[in-house]
Order: sequence, then C-alpha cells, then structure tokens
Amino acid sequence: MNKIILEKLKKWQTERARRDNVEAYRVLPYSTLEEIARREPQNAEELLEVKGIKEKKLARYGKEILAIVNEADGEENIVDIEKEDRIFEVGEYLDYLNIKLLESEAKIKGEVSSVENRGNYIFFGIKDKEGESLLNCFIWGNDYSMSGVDLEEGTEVIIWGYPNVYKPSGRMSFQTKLIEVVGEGALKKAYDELKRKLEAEGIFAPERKKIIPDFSHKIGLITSHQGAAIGDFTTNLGSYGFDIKFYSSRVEGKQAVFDLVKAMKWFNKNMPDLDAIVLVRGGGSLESLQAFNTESLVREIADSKIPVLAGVGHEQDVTLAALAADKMVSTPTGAAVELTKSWDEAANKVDAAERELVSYLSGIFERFDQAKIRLHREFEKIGQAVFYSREKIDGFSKNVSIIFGRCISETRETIRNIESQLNLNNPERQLKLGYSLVSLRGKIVRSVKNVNIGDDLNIKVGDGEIESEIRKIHDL
Amino acid sequence: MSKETNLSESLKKLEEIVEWFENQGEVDVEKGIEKVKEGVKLIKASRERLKKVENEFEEVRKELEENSEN
Repeated sequence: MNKIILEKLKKWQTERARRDNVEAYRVLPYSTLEEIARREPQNAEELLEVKGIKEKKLARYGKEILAIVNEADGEENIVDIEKEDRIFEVGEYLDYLNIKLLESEAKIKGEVSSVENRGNYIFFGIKDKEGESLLNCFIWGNDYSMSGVDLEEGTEVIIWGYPNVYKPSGRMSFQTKLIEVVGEGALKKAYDELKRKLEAEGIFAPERKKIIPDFSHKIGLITSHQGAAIGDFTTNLGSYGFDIKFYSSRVEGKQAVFDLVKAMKWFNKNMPDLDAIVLVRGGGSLESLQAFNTESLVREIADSKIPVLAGVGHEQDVTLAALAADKMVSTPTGAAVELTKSWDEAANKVDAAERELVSYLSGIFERFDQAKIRLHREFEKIGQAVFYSREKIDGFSKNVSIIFGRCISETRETIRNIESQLNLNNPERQLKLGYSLVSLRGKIVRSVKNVNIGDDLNIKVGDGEIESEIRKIHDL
Repeated sequence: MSKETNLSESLKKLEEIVEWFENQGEVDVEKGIEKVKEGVKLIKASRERLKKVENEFEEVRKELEENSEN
C-alpha cells in the first residue's frame, strides 16, 4: 500500500468533507481510501474497479482522487525531476506546494491582530506580542463555531491547522481547524461565561433532563480507546450482557471536540433506538477537558434525542457537557454503576425471591418432617396402647383364671362345708353312732308321760327297726 | 338353661337347708331326712355343675392363652 497516497487521501477526505459540509465518511469510507492507496489507479476505468466507487462518486471525486494518486507518483519523481531541472507551471507548483505544506501542520500561539467575519468563513491574523511577525489565518464557519471561542483583537489564542496557498490569489493563509484560548485563567473565564450563558438559556434545567431508562441494555459508548476510562467503565458493567456500541473518540484537549460532536451526531442519526449514550473520561485539568466545556458539544448533548449519561472526571469545575447531560456521575466507574443499578436491584430481588421460595419450601418440608415425626409418635402411642391393652388383656385373663379358679375352689369348699354340716345334722348319722329313735304311733317319744305300759313302740336303729312292747315305766 | 342347675341358686338353697338345721331346736327326723335328701341331691348337682363350669372355664382359659401368645 502506498502510505503517502493514503495520508494524502485522508487529508483530502477531511478537506472535501468540510467543503461539502458533510461527515468525512460520506465522502468516501476509510476502507475505500485504503483500497485506492493499494491499487493506485491511473485512470477513471481503474478507479471504477475500486470497491465503493461508482459512477456518481467517480463523477464527483474522480478527478481529485486521480490527481492525488498522480501527484504522489510524481512526487517520487521530484528528486529526479529536480535533478533534471524540471520546470513547473504555476498551478502545478502550487498544488505540489500545498501537499508539501500539509506536512507543516502545527499548533501556533499568538495574539489576535485582526478579525474579518464573512459568515461562512473568517479571516483573521495572529501575531507575537513582541515583534513584527504576522500570520494570516482562515477558518471555516463550522470550525469556528465548533471551537466556541470568540475571536477578538488582543485575545491570546492557540490555533491548530496547516498552511495553504490559495491558488487564485497566491496568498498563503493558515487553514485553521480549531481555536483555543490560552491559560487557565482565560479558560476559567471562558468556562464561566459559557456556563452563565447556557444556564440562562435553560440548557441545564432539570425539566429538560430525560430519564436514563431502567434496564438500559443498548448503550452507545463514547470515549477514547486508549486510557483507563474505557476499562473502568466496561469492567464495572458486570455480566448483564449489555449491548455496547463503541464510538472511539479523542477525549484529550480541544481537538477532541470534533470527534465527540461527531459521535453524538452519529449515534442520534444511526442508532436512535439506543437506551442511552454514555460519555466517559477520567478526570483532568480545565485545559485537558476543554472539549467538554465547548459550546458545540454541550449543545449537541442537550439536543440529543437519546438520553446521555456523563461520567467525566474533573479537577475543579464540573464540565458543562456533564451539566447538560441527562444524568452525570463523576467517574467512568460511576457511569457503569449507574447503568447496572437497576439490573443489580433486579438481581437482588430475584435472589431474595429465590431465598424466600427456598425458605418457604423448606418450611413446607419441615412441616412435613414434623408431621412425619408426629405421625410416628402417634403410631408409637398406638403401638404402646396396643401393647398395654394386650398386657391388660393378658393380665386380665391371668387374673380371670386366678380369680375364677379361686371362685371355683371356694365354691367347692362351700359345697364341702355344707355337705359336712348336712352330715352332722343328718338324723340317721345319730343312729349309726348307736342312738335310736323311738316312736309311738308315728310320733317321736320324747317323754315317759306320753307312753303307757303295753303300748307298742317302734325303735329305729342304724340298720333296721325293732317292734317292742312297754313293760315298765320309770321316772328319773 | 332351665334344666341345668343354677349353681348360685343351688348354693343358696343348700345354705337355707343348713340354716334350717341350725334353727331347729328339735330335729324333726322325717323333715330332717327330707332336707338331707334334698341337700344331698343339690350337692351332687352342684358338684356336677361346678365340674362343668370348671371345664368350660379351662377351655376358655386355654383359648385366651393361645391368643395372648400370638
């Protein structure tokens, strides 16, 4: 790839974009520039073979692109040409010179000596405080407003750009891209003035603020791909699966304002469905944070349709960009925390719910266990009751046996007693003992008075009866 | 049942007979013999009845013991 051509194409792209007042990638995307630098097309046909170049682009830019490729080729030959004492035509030489001058890009400090504002562009001059040196300067109106610095005679400024000879007039002027004010004091003054002005306009008013939605998911991230801010932000996002669209931007110094504004515009135009734009950078001095205190960026943030979350650190005053944002935190980490807050809360809620559910369930299980234990106990009780009942019945049957047995033997004893008593009382028993029963005419004789001599007596003895007659009667 | 001797009734009757003898100042031999004869009959019946009850009880007791062993 021809690096010289690529560099020149890049400068041309920026330049052309500015001239047409469009984004640089609208002129030609970077990949197409690389393709051209690789192929080095020599004519329109070859240029058309480059991906990204169609008839329309060819018609618009073809001549300029081919000129750049040819110039660069010519440049390689210049040493030779000079050797050969080549003679340039005027326009040819100015083209060559302007390309050479691109390499003289510089930052220059000076005091504004004159200002001539023609609306779309401004002519001005800067000079050293001491001495006679003067630099004629030119700035496009866009860049002027982007810079947000009011040029006034006597103001000390730093300008950034490169020299260029305007072919029709032959006049050299410094093509200024950016103007900064010089020194902390001036910066502070500019900051205060701009803050006052925007405040009066209500740019920072709370009622203008949009809400960064809970559970923001699709995030446009604007920061530098270098430095700690991007790491601080991304590592603190947790594992919630954020969809991060990253627009790499410079964040240091005044020049960063171009990228930052472009990034804001790009997200609003191309990704209007973003939940939020996050703008982060680490802390810094007023000077290094100049871009964030530049009117163009502040307005861009205030006008953003997408809610803006600013996580911009600062040493002294809060940046105006942060004040205009819908929400501001003081660090990139804080921005990440802000975004994950609702997710964290939700996660905690889920955890809590889970814990509750588990404890609820284990409560149920515990009750089950208790019920089981109780049931077990009841079973045991029943078992015991059965056991006792059996014991009782066994005891009862034993007792019954004993008692009834006793009852029977008692009854037997009673019968025996009665029998022996009956035996004792049995009159016939007396007869056996030798007593006899004497009766007269069927009546037991108990007295001598009841009998007379000659009466017939019946005498009963143990084994029979004797009939007898009374012969004598004696009184006792 | 009516045919069977009621043991407690028999015992009661026997006791009455004994009592009768005890309250008798002079024993009426004829009546006494009658009573004795009745008593002997009752005793015999009671014994038989008792034996029967005892047997029945033994059977029941065996049954109980068998059950409690199970």
